[in-house]
Amino acid sequence: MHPTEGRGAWWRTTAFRITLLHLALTLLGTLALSGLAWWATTRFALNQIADEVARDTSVLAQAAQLGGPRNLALAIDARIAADRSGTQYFLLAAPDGQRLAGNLAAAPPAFGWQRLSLTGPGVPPGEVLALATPLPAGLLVVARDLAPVRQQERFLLGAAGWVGGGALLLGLGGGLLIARGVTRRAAAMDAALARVQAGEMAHRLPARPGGDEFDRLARRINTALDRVQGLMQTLRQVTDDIAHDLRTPLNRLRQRLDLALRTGSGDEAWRAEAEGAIAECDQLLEIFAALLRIAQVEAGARRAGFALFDISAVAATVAEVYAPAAEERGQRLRTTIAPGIALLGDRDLITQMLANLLDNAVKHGREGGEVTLRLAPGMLTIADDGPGIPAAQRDAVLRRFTRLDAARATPGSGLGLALVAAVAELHGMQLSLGDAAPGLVVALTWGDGQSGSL
Amino acid sequence: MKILLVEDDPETAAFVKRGLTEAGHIVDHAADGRDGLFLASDATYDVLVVDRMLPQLDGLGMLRALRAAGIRTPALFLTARAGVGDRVEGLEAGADDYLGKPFAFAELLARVNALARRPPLAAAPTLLKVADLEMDLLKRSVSRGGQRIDLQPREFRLLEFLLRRAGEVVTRTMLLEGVWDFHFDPKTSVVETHISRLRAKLEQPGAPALIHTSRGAGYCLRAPD
Repeated sequence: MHPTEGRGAWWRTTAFRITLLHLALTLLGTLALSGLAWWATTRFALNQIADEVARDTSVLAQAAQLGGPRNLALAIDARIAADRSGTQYFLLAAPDGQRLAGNLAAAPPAFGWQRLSLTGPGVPPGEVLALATPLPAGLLVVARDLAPVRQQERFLLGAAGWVGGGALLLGLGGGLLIARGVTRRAAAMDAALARVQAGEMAHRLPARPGGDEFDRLARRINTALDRVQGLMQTLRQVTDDIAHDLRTPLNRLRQRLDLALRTGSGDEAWRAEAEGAIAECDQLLEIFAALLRIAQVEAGARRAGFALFDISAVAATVAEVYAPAAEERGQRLRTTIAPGIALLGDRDLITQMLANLLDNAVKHGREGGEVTLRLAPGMLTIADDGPGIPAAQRDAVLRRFTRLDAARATPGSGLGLALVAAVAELHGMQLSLGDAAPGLVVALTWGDGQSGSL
Repeated sequence: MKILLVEDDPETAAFVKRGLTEAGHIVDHAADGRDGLFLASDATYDVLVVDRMLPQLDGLGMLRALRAAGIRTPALFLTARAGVGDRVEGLEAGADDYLGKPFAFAELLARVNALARRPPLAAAPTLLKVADLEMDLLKRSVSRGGQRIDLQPREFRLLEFLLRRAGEVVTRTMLLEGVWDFHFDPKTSVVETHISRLRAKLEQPGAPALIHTSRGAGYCLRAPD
């Protein structure tokens, strides 16, 4: 990894990009809301003004109808006088265009609703909403200043600006803060992983108990690292073991051939040496085959071929195969097998597992002693009355190539129990080694998930 | 016998071909599954020896195609010994027997001979006899020279297996598979122990031997020389 990769520019962080997106959406929302408010308010104010203009027009028209142009002019003057706000404009013009009353300078060019710009001396510049109505006496124009509406609009725009700007600033500040926090967490994880990558396999990511999604992610990564480390250790162990345990028979083979070459004479001697060499080779090949088989079982590839079979029959057969071997050692092989127990699994592998266990029991059991095999639904035990296995070494014997010092003298590859452990694991069985006082008792238990009826 | 060997590894092929030829068989060799299928289609062979891993068409595919074409020549399937599921696959594809690689040549020879002489299942005899040894399968009794011999059930089954193959060499693994359905080699002397106990019951001191040990190969039940 490049050292700069972990310290990327702050604007290239996910948190900052999310902040920007969030900001843009907030601004868009503020704008839309402000626009809507502006439009609705302005419309309402304009309508109100138009209503007032229309009402004034109708009142004045009525006055003209009742009292003639004179009365109308008086009424207009009275209104102008009463208007303190200075926003009302009126005009009564004679048919020839001459101004009869009012405070508007000139008549608009057309009838009906219109907006007029006020210009002229003594009049503040502005816009008015006007209604020009033809009367028998002349033209009546009623108008209202639009300045209050414009003021409201300006106020609204200002408010929208403040709100939008505030949201922008707050969002930006908050986003940067979040981005900094997230970046710091990510950088810590990144740095920790970089150390693991550099070979510190035992280094772990910082993770607070409980914690947020980062802590959960860190814990998950730590668990994965634990697993990887465990697998690497196993692999290293196996590699070392293979190197060591295969070197011994290979050395023996080499010495044997060397000796035969130097001293061998006569067909019979050569034949004997060749047979011995083949036997050594067979042992080597058998170790390879056993290792591969354990690896295959551990990989779980065989689970697809699981079927229900009668484990009671298998146990009886295995006991039968080993009965003469036990008798040779003066041992009594006692079997208590509940009939017709069905197991979902691989018949061949279970057969080999039981054979390995019984082989061990007969081999390591006391001469003239007793070996027992018990099978009940969900449970199988095989016990001998030999020296047993010290509690501290019970885990070790389940690993490949582990052979206790006491067993060095007897033939075996140290792979038997490793295969037993792998097969038990494949079948979801719990395997435990215990003290039969004296001797070893191996117990296999399994749940209903592995059982069935034939 | 005429044997077709389908094996791509030239070293192994030469080893097997030479051994089978020395044992008096005629051996044709095909180096890939397609040639093997072509040659075996003639149905002129007594036994096929087919490797699992083959170029062009693998052993499983070749056997399936042959069986689908109705050719029933007995076939011995060669698999990797460590292959956990290989045996089942081979038998399902139509093989009659299988052998894990690497193997001892004596083992291969014994199995090829056994395949070629496999008797039809229909004519199962009820009385098996070699020299003065008799086994009555209906009464489940064994006698030698008219003298009744008491055998445990496991000893009876072992002797029956040997009697049905009287005169043939039967290897340790053939016994493990045939008598106890053990498809792996326990690498201990269990078979030897069974045989020696059976021998002790059949061969009273002074009586001529019936179960002969074939050095480096297995056992053979036959009339005394």
